[in-house]
Amino acid sequence: MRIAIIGLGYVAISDALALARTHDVVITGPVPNRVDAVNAGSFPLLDPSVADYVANNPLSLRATLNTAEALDGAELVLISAPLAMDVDNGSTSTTELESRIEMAHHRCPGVPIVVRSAVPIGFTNRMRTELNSRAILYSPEFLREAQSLQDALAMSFLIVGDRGDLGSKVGAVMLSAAQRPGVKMRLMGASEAESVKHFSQAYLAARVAYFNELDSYALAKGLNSRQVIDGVCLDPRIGTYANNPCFGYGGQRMPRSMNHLNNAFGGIPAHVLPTVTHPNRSRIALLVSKIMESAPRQIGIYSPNGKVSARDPLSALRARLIAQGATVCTYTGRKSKDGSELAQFKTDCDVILAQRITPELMDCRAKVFSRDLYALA
Amino acid sequence: MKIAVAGLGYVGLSNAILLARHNTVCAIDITAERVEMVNAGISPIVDTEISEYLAKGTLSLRATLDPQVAYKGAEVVIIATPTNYDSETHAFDTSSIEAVIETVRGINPKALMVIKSTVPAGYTEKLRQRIGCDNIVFSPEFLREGRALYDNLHPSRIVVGEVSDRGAMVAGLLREAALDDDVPVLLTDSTEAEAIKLFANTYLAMRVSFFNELDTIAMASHIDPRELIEGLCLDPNVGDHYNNPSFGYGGYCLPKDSKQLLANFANVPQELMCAIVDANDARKQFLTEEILKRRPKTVGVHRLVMKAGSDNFRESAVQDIITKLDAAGVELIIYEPSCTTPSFKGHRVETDFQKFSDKADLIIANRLTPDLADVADKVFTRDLFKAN
Repeated sequence: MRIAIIGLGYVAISDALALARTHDVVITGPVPNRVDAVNAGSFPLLDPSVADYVANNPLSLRATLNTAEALDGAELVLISAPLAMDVDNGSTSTTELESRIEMAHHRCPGVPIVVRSAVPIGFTNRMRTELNSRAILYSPEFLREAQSLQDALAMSFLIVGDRGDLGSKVGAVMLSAAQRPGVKMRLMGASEAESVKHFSQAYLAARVAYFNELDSYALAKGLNSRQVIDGVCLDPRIGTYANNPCFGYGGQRMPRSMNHLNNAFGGIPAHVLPTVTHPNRSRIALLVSKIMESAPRQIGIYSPNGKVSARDPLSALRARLIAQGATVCTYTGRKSKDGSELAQFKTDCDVILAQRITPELMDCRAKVFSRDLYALA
Repeated sequence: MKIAVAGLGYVGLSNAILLARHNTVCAIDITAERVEMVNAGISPIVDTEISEYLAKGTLSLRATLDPQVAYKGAEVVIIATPTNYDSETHAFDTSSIEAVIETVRGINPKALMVIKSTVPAGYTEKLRQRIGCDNIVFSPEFLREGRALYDNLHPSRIVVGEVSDRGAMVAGLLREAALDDDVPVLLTDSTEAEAIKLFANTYLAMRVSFFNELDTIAMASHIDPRELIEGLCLDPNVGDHYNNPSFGYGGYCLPKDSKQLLANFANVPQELMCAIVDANDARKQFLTEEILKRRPKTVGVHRLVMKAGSDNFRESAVQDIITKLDAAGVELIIYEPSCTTPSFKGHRVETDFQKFSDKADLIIANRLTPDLADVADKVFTRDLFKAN
């Protein structure tokens, strides 16, 4: 089948790679260096398994800057688009996504269009009404950026937001991305499928927040947090995954999903769900008081993967520490050839804040303040 | 080894039977009726495995009312007396534990006492210091009501709150008694072991509340909660278990353990713990309003028990809905075959299902059972999957 994929982010590229084993895939987007990279066979993904996969699987995949050309003759269209979130009011801009859907709808009338971006609840039904087309569907992705291709190939379940024949047909094609048998497929309404995505993020957010509060309790009371977590998680209904405390959750996806839920369901009596939207405030307050106990002269924030974004809990932590009169600097992973940058950072700081303890921090372990309880020994 | 077990409720009786498979166990209770039943091989509580084991008569177990008989010569005393949550002091009432400890110390000061009752975090350590006694350790109990012995025969883990030889000895007794070979054993510090119990149950309370809030949202937004939950639970990070909406979390453990934990947090900054406790009342309030929207004349309450298979009404969620409906001036009638009184909280209890369903124009049921099939159009429930 000829499949067009609009978007050049990690979801689009992972979908393209996974589907191109059994289908003719053309991927398109307005980013020349990404298009070139795909055509040159060097796929811009963080997932380390890409090279191996490409070497071992003959793929029918090419990229183009020309969206119209990509859509010509397509029998199925997958669309991902960046959804910009307004930090102030929590709303998500779907303008870019809508224009891509409209273009696909007009170039390929009647061809099923599958939305992969985590859209607000009700979005798909609104598009169906506005374009007077039933052929627009939502199918949530559950890919982790660092292993997006592996996740796409190893999917254990697939959700398609259409209860009818169209859903079955589209689902059958999407299933061909998997490299394993027994994938469970579930068809459902469009709003239900959109909700699954956001509630899945919300559950994870609640879980992260829960273990962080447990850890705050242990930290405040001088208890061995790891003992408590180990004992709690041996209950099979709780499980031993996603239980390592951190400073707070950050990134884009969880806050965005929580905002969707709040916007869609504001005013409905709930406590747990609204709380996990902002679980970091009390956590940050406790961490700041613990960090300041030793009256550090120079605090370093260890952010090896680049600048600390506004939504990163490290950012809130830094602001609160500065407000308390602390001197704070940040290591953003910029590598000088001789490694002097990191060495200088380690020398300068008497406390180093790290979400996760990495091997390069082991030589200054005594300076590191982290809540990573399951780090390398 | 001679072991004494204080308390013949779920926890005490299941532990007594469990340990009596390999040890000589003497159980003690303050209720003569319970003692007689156990000695006659009859279970005083509803629990399939307990009834079976008692009936077989192969156990080295006897029950007594006499502390001298129970505690004299016992190397280990398991304390499993009730600790009810006191909503005024915001803590468990631990007086029954302390009474046992005092008695044991008077009769047999060398005995190692193992607290199985749920206690506030930090309790055992403080008690040891206060009474100057080192022979007390805490070991949390993870059983479910109605599956008490089963869960002890097949434990998810054995936790003992002391990293020591005698802590290992207590864990060994429990592991030896289990039927599975690969049970994880954790020896932890004392307060950590107490915290494990409270944090595990509060996590489960959060999970119940999460699915109840999801259901509340779905009801108010015309989203199909069944599709949503079935889809969501395909995600292995969520899991397909413990996800059936209800009137609220209830039973003997979840409400009191989550409240106790919240009280333990005291000045520790938190948001979620409070939300987990508040969520339960919000759910009941929302459902009460949904019931009132249907303008019923007489509401029939189908069962006071928390879940199918339960034999008591302790902290069942429907009780708070009864109170709220009553406050709204709705007439109520209750169907509860295991209720021995003609009325409950001032409402008539009917034991004849036909009479009950004739009188009620709306029937509220936390869990759907087969007897409701004929009156399905009258039933208000949030049980989407016909499961506990």
